[in-house]
Amino acid sequence: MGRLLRNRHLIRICGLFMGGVFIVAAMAKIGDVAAFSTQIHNFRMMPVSLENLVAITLPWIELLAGLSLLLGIRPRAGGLIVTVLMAFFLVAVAVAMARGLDIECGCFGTADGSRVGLRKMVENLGMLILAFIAIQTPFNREQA
Amino acid sequence: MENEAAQQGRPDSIFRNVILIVVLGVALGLVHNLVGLKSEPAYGVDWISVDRTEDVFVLGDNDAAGPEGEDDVEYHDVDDPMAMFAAPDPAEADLPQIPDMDRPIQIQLPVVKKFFDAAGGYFVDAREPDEFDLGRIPGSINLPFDTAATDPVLLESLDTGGRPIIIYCGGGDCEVSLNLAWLLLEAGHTRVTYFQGGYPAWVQNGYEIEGGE
Repeated sequence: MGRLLRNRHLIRICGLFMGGVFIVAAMAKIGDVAAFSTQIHNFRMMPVSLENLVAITLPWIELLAGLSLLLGIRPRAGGLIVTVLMAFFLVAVAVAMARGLDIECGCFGTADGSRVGLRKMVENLGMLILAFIAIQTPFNREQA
Repeated sequence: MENEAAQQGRPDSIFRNVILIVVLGVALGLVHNLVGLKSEPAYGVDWISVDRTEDVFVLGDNDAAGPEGEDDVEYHDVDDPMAMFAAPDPAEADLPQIPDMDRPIQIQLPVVKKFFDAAGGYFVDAREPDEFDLGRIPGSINLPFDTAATDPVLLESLDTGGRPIIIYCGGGDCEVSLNLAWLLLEAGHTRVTYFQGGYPAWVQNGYEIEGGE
């Protein structure tokens, strides 16, 4: 298992995939900031006054982190951001479900119109695992 | 090389790069929004948001609202309280009156049931088609939010027959319903209400449903 986590091809593929996902998600949110702000509001997790600021800035951080993974520029820093964000999104969806909120996920802006639910949690968990793999140090012959 | 250090996982350089990405992202976002605010129509949003749920009108005393229950309706922001009531329709004589307003009206189960019994409401199911197929309030139409958001013509073409629109969804505070309510208001409909509690509350009370065979 540890060896698998150090397979540089697997790490690269996970990085490329998560980078792509984050870029697509970020572009959808950047395209409609107002809608994303409403979706954040619906989660009821932060002070109202901060919602627009997060809606304005978070998609750009996602975009840069995604690009960093996809292009391989400082990929571990980008991957770390992606991992932390995925963990946060997972918690956000779980909390929304626990509170019985029937809301749009906002994961990909309004593009997919998906709701929070068990399926979303499984998706997020899967992507969290991929992101975690993407930040592993590749297997290094000198260390073997 | 910094890049090699990152590859080998030296924590200090990773964190430096994380901070770099975050700061750059925040800066880009703020600049993009600033440019968007100046565009016409404005493409960005205000730096600080306002609470949109405060714009909702809550129909008072849902348990007893009826022709006598008018006193329980709150009249804020309206100069002439009676002016906002539509002319009473004979068919709605025994129903709670839904004011004609420019914002969504939140109603609850007892009022919804009265409208259902009198066939006096235009029921809209805001959930996804698969949920709709599994069971719904009889006589409702399915209008998921994402369909509505992309099809303004469909919204305008809904024929409510003069009845108030009653939107419901999958429960909780029904924020999807609320968003759909705003869309319907923007499309020119009046007396748009949404049912807090939604379908689960309806089923819990053992009221009639259709579908789901």
